[in-house]
Amino acid sequence: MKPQRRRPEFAKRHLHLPAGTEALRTLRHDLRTPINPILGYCELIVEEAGAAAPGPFLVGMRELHATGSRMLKLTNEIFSDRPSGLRQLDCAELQREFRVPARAATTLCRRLERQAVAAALPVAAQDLQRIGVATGRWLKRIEEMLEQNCR
Amino acid sequence: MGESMPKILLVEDNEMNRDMLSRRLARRGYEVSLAVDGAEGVARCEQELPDLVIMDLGLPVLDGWEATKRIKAAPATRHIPVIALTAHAMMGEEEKATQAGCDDFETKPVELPRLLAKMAALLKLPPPAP
Repeated sequence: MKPQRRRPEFAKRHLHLPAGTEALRTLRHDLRTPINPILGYCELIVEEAGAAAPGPFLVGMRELHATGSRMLKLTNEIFSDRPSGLRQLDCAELQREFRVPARAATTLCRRLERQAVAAALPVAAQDLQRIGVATGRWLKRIEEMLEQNCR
Repeated sequence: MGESMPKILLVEDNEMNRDMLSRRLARRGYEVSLAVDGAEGVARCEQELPDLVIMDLGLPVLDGWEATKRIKAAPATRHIPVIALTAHAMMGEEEKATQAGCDDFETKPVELPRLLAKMAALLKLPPPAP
């Protein structure tokens, strides 16, 4: 994942999503779509690696799954009609909220990929690369959403 | 349906979602056939007569709603159950899928045990082990 530019001017802006529009529906869809492979591959890797995987690898996979779940929770919350602390944040704080799990997932993917290679789990290593790609796509779409809707 | 495991047609345009879900279903013994857009989904459904279709809705060429309508309009395929699978999780989406002819509806991210239970119900199989 490429390092993202900091946007200090976001601190004075808030997210205004176009309520009830097709654009909002598409955005929500675009943001939920990459989370499906993130969570699904995590579960698949654990299923396939099973008992052959070292304990610390499985612990890391659970951590990665929890990070993906955090990304899903943030995605759902930002589009929810219910009162949300997330919606009170300015765009700089929002950006940070979204970047934290994405960066954690990216770091975990790299570490777990090395562990998978060392443990002779090449398919798991390949799937971890895919999780990294999906995480990058999610964060890129988040950054685009902030660029387009922070005022 | 004979003694062999049911054949599932997975219509999904996202490569990662297609790979991940097809492998998870294959691990559970299902024979999985793949299509990457709605038009290919309809064509494969007619050719292969699968036991069940898992249909993404936001598809290129022909979207999943229209593909389902065509499957349900054709005498040879109208009996095949279709489960809609979509990242569109807003109110009204399930109703829209049902109106297109989908027999059930599931959102992404996929909760596999729930999807497997829906598949088993439509395929008249015993519920999957937890």
